[in-house]
Amino acid sequence: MEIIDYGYIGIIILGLLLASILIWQIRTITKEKDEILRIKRKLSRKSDLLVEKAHKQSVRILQKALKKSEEIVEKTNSIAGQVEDWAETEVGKEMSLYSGYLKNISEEILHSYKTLFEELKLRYDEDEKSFISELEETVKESKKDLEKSISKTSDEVSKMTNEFVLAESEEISLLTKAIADQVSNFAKWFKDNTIKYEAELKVITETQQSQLTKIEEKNGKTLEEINAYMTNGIKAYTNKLIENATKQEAEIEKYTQERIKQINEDLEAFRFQRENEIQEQVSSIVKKVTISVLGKSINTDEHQKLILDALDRAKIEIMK
Amino acid sequence: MLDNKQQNSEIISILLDRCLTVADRNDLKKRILKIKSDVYTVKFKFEEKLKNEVYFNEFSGLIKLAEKMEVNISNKAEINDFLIYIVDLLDGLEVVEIELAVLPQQIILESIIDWFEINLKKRIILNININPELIGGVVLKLEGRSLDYSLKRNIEELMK
Repeated sequence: MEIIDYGYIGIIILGLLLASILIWQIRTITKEKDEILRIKRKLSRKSDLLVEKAHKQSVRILQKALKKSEEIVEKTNSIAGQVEDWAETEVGKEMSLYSGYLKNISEEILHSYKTLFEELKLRYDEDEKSFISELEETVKESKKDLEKSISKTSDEVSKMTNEFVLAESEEISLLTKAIADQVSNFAKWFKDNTIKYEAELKVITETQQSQLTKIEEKNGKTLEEINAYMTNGIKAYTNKLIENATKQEAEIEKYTQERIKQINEDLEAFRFQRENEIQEQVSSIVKKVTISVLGKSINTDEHQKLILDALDRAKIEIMK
Repeated sequence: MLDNKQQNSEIISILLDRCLTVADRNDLKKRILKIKSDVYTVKFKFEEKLKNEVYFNEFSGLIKLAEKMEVNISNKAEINDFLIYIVDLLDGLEVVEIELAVLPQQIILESIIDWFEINLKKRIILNININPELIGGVVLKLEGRSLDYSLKRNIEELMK
């Protein structure tokens, strides 16, 4: 007897244990499902953030590069302008200086000529012939000297100008070369950096792509399971809905039929009642008319006769 | 002392000549009981008392019935028994309830009573109700049955 009892208790405990394990398993599965969904949402958010970050970074790099290009172009233009201005200003200034210098010289020469001419004129008056010849000689010499001087001055000016231009050209050339070097360096830096950023961007994109692929693979599997679970659930629910709808339709049909029957009965009863009412009203009217007509016209003898006739007719009933 | 009722029916008929309705019966019974209550008084004289309390036909009927039944009117006990007999007789009258359209005249009531005596060999009294809706004719309530022979019913039958 005690052994049987213990056996039962053992089975009950085992059953309870199995039920607890089952409940625990169900709860664990539910938790895992929730965890998967949570991770999925987290990964989705993370991938979104990464894509957004990469996009922002790309935009920032491109903006930086564009700004730098604009700065270079601006700087180049500025330098070119400066060079041009400087060249125009300095060369013009020097040329103007030399022109002034030449003008002064020419004016001095002319002034010397005038002075000399006046002296010669005076001398011509005194010793016209000798003086003219001397003057002519002097003029010739002066002319030669002047030509020499002009030639010399022109050569000097040309030489100085050439020297200056050469010197400045070298400087400009150096400056331009330096700028060109800077531009070249920047272009190289820009190219290097662009390549570097492109490589980084490519790495980031590949990493993201890889992560996305992994997520998609993982989620795809989970999604398939969820999809299957949901499909089954929806199918079961739909079947239940259809079943309920069919049941309700049948109930509604039944209810409608009952209501129609009830309404018909009510209508019939109402019709019967109304007919009776109308009949009663008609009878009442006829009775009132009859009473008003007959009640006044029946005298005592007729009443007596009616009563006795009634009693004679009643005799048959009474004798039964 | 007392003979059976059938033998005395003619005399009873005279006694009940004015007794057509329940009200008439109750009135007569009341007067008989008053006479009975005075039977054992010192000055009681049967005939004199009857003359004072009942109508002439009732007086004649009661005297004839007493003679027929050989009642010693000098004997107060016999008079008392005779009066009890009369009260029982009145109580034993069959009541027929009738419904009429108009208040009936005496002749109509007598005709109805006579009809019952002739056709059913019964002396009845009437309990009358007036219902103008009947127009004419009569509704009888007899032995638990209601028999409608009014003009109203005739009209209703025609209306159907």
